[in-house]
Amino acid sequence: MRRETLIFCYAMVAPALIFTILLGIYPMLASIRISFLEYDLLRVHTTGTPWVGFENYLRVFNDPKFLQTVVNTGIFTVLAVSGVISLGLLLSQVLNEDYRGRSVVRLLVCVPWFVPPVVASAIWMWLLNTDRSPINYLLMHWGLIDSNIRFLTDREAWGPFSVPMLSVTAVRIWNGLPFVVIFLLAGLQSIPRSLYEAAEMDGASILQKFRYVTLPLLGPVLGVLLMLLVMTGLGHFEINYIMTGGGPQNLTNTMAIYSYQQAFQNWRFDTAAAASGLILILTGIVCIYYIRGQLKKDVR
Amino acid sequence: MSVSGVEHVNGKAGRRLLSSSRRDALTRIAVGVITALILIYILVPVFWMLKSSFQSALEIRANPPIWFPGEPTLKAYEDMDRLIPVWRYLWNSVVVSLIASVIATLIATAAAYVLARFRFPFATLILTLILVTQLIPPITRVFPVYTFIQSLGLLNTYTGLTLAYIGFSLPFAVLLLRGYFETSCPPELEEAAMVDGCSHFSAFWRIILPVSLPGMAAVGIFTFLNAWNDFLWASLLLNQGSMKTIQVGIGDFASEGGGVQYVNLFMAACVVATVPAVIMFLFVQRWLVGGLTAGSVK
Amino acid sequence: MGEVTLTDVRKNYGALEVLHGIDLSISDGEFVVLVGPSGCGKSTLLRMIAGLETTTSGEITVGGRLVNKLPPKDRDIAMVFQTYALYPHMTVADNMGFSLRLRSISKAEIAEKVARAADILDLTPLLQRKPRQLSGGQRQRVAMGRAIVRNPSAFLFDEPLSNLDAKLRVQMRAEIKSLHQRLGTTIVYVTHDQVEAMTMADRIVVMNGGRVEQVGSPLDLYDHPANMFVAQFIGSPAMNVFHGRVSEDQDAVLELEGGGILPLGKRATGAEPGQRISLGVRPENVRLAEEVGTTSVQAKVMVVEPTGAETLVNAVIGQSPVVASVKERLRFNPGEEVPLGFDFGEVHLFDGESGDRID
Repeated sequence: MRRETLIFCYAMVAPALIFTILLGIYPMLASIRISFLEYDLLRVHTTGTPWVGFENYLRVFNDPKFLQTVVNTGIFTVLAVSGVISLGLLLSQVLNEDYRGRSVVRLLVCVPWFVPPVVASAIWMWLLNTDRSPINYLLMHWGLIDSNIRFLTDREAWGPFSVPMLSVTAVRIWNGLPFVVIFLLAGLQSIPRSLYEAAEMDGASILQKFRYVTLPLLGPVLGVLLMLLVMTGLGHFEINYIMTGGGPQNLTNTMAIYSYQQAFQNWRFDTAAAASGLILILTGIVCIYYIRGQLKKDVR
Repeated sequence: MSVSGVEHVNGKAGRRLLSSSRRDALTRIAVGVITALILIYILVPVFWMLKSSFQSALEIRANPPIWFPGEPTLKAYEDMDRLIPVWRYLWNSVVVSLIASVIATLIATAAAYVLARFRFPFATLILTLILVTQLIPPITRVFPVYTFIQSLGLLNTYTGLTLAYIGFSLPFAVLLLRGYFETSCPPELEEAAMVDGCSHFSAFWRIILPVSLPGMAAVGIFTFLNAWNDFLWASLLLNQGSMKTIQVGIGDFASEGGGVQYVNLFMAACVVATVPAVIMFLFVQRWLVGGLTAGSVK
Repeated sequence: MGEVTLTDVRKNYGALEVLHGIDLSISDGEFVVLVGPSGCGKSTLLRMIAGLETTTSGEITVGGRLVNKLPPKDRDIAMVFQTYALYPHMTVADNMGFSLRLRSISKAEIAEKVARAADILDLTPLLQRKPRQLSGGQRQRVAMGRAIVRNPSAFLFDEPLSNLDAKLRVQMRAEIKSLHQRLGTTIVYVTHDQVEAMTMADRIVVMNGGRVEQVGSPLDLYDHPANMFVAQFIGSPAMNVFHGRVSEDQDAVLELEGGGILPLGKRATGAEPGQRISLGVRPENVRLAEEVGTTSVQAKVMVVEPTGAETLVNAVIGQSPVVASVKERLRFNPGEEVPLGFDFGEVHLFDGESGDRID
C-alpha cells in the first residue's frame, strides 16, 4: 500500500477512533475497574477508593432485590423481543405487499418511532392509569371485566410475571416496533421477486411462501436484529424508569434501573458498577456471536 | 396474484391451485384483521395525545372518556409555557441533537469509507473496537462518562452532552455507512476520480461525499432521533434549570405530578416534543427516495 | 510520447502470485488489446498501469517515465471503466471537464475542450444532462469523452462494451476504432471477447493464468497460434482439435483417442511417429468430401445449425466432435454419415504434452 494511502486511511478513521476510545472503550474499562473498588461517593474523600476485589459482586448477589431484577430483566427481554419480532414480521409482510394506500400505512406504522420514549411513557401512563384509563372504561363497558385493572400498580405477581410487567413490556414493544418493521422490510426487499413467483408456480400458499421462502432468506437479517434487540433489552432503562420507577414492589425493576439508582440515588458507584458489570457480561456473550457474524461478512 | 389464470388450468393441478387460493383468502382475512388490531394499538396512543392537547383538563379526565374534543381549543398550547419552559427546552434539544448528528455523521462517513474500501493494517482491529462499543449497554458507561465529562468541566453545557451523543452515535453510524459504501457506492467512482487527477482526499470530498448524501441523510436522521429521544444521558449531563432537554423537562414535570393535574398542558408539551422528529423525517424522506447513484453505473 | 512498457511485472496478493512476470512493449499510437478468459489477470494488469493496483515487482513506464510509485493522477493516463463510473451528481459537461478543473485550467478553456470532445462524440445536445438521464450508449460515450478531453499519453479501456446490448456493441466497436484512427493516441484495451480483440486491435496480447500466451497482430494469431490455448481462444466457432498419437505403422496418420483415424496430410512433418499430438483445424477449413479417401474420413452428423450466411455442421469422427462451416445450405438427417475432408495447408499441429505448436 502506498504511503499516502496509509496516511489518508489513518487520518480518516482517527476522529471516529478517538471518540470511540474516549467515550466507549475507556468508560467501559473504567466501569469494570470501579466494580473492584470501594467507591461510595459520600465517603470517597475520607476513605478514598481502596481495592476490595469481588466484594461488590458478592454484595449485589446477596441482595434479593437485585436477584429479582435479574429475573425481571430476563423476562422483560424475552417478552419484549419475541413480541416485537412477531408483530414486526407480520407488519413488514403487509407493508411489502402491493396495494393502494400502502405508503399511508407505512407512514402510520412509523409513527411511534417519532414518539420519544419519555413521551410514550407519559401517554401510556395516562392510558393505563387505573381510575381514568379509557382502556379500563371500554373493557368494563363491554362487560369483559368487573373491576378496573391496575395496569401499573397491581402488586399481585405470578412468579416473575405481573400485570405491571406486561404493561411496561407492551409499551416497550409499541415504541420499538417501527424500527423492527423497517429493518425487516429492508431485508424483505432484498429477496428477489422471482423466488415468490417460482414458489407460486409450484403451488405454494401464502403461509408456505412465508415458511419456505421468506423465513430462510430473512435468516441472517433476523439474526442480527435478534441480537441487537436482546442487547438493548438487557440494558433497558427509560420506559420502566419513567413509568413505574421499577415498582410496584420492584416488580418492573431492571438491572439498568437498579444500577442507576445505586449510583445516583445512593451514590454507591461501586455497587452500580458491579451490577452494570453483570449486564456487560450478559451482553458480552450475545455480542461475541454478533461480532463474529459481522466480521465473517467482511471476508466476502 | 395466484388467482389469475386458474380457469385455464385443468384437472388436479387446477384444483390444487383453487384450494390454495381459498386457503390464501382465509390467510389474507386473518392477516387483515390482525393488522387492523395492531394499527389500533399503534395509533390510539398517538391519537390520544393529539386530541388531549386540544381539550381542557376536565374533559380529558371525564368518565366515560371523550374521544373527540367537544370544543377544540388551543388553550393548552398557549398556557403550557407558563408551567414548562417548552420552547427553551426544545431549543436545547434541537441544538444538541442537530450538532451531534451532523458531526457524528461526518466523522462516521470518513471512517466508514476507508473501512469499507481499504485493507490497511489494524483495519479489522479498529472495526472490532467500534463494533464492541456499539454493543456496550449505555448504563455500563454512565458513571465513567459522567465523571469524565465532569472532569472536563463540561457538566451542564451543550458541549458536554453533544460530545457524549457523538460518541454514542458513532459506532452504529459507522456500521450503517460502511454497509452503504459496500453496496451502494461503486469503487469505480473514486477510481475514475483518481485517474482524473484527484488525490484520495479530494476524491472523497468532491465525489464520494456528494454521491453518498442519501446514505448520510439516513444515518443523520438516525443519530438525530437517537439524541432527540434520549433521556438517560440528558438527565445526567444536562439537567439544571433552563438547560434541560425537552425529554428531561417532560420527564421531570411528569415525576413531579404535573402530568395529572395539568394533563392538557402536559399533552401539548408532549406533542411539541414529538413534532420536530416528524418534520425532520418528512424533510429528509425526499433524499432517501431520490436514489442519487442511479445512472452512474450500468 | 505515449509508449507503455512493462518489464517483468508481477503482482502478489499475499502469498498468491496472480501475474507471473509480464513483459510487453507498446509503441506510441498503438491499439493493443489484452484478451483472455476471466481471471487471467488482464484487468489487474490494466489497473496496475493505471495505478489503481500496486505493482509488486517489475517496472511500468508510460511515455518513458517510470510510474510504479506514482499515484494515478500523476501518470498522464485516462481510463474508461466497464461501469462507466460517471459522477452522478454532475452534468455531462462537468463530468467531462472535471479532470481539467482539477488542473486549474481556466473556465473558458475547459468549455472549449469539452465542446470539442462533445462534437467528436455527438454529445453536444446532452451536455447539460445528468448521467441518469442518458441511455447506455450515451453514457458510454460520455465516459470516452471524459477520457479524450484530457489528451493523455494513453487511454486505458476496461471492458467498456460489456454492459451494452449486442447491436450497440458492434456500433461502438467501430466508433472506438475510428476514434483511435482520428486521435492517434495509444490505447490499451481489455476485453474477454475475442471478436472485439480481432476487429479493433493493432496487436493482441492473449493472456491466461497470469501469463502472456502470445502477442501478435490479429491475423497472425489467427493463422499461426503459438499454442493450443491461443488456437482455441481465437476464432469463432472455435478451432476443432483432435487428440491422438502419430501412427507408427502407417505414414501420416493420426490414431485418435477414443477410436478412429485421421489422415495428417503433408503436415505430418515435425511430428515423430508415436508422438502424442493434437491436430487443430478451423471449421472453415473442414469441407464436405465426395467420398472417403486418403484425405478424408467418415463422420456422423449430429446437429446442423444454419446461420444464414453459412451452415455449421456438427459431427463426430469416432468419438471426437468436429464442426464444419460450409457456405452451401445443406440438409442432413441426424445420424447420417458424411465424408469430411480437411484443407491440409491450414492444419495446425500441437505437441500433446506442452500444447506448443509443432512446425
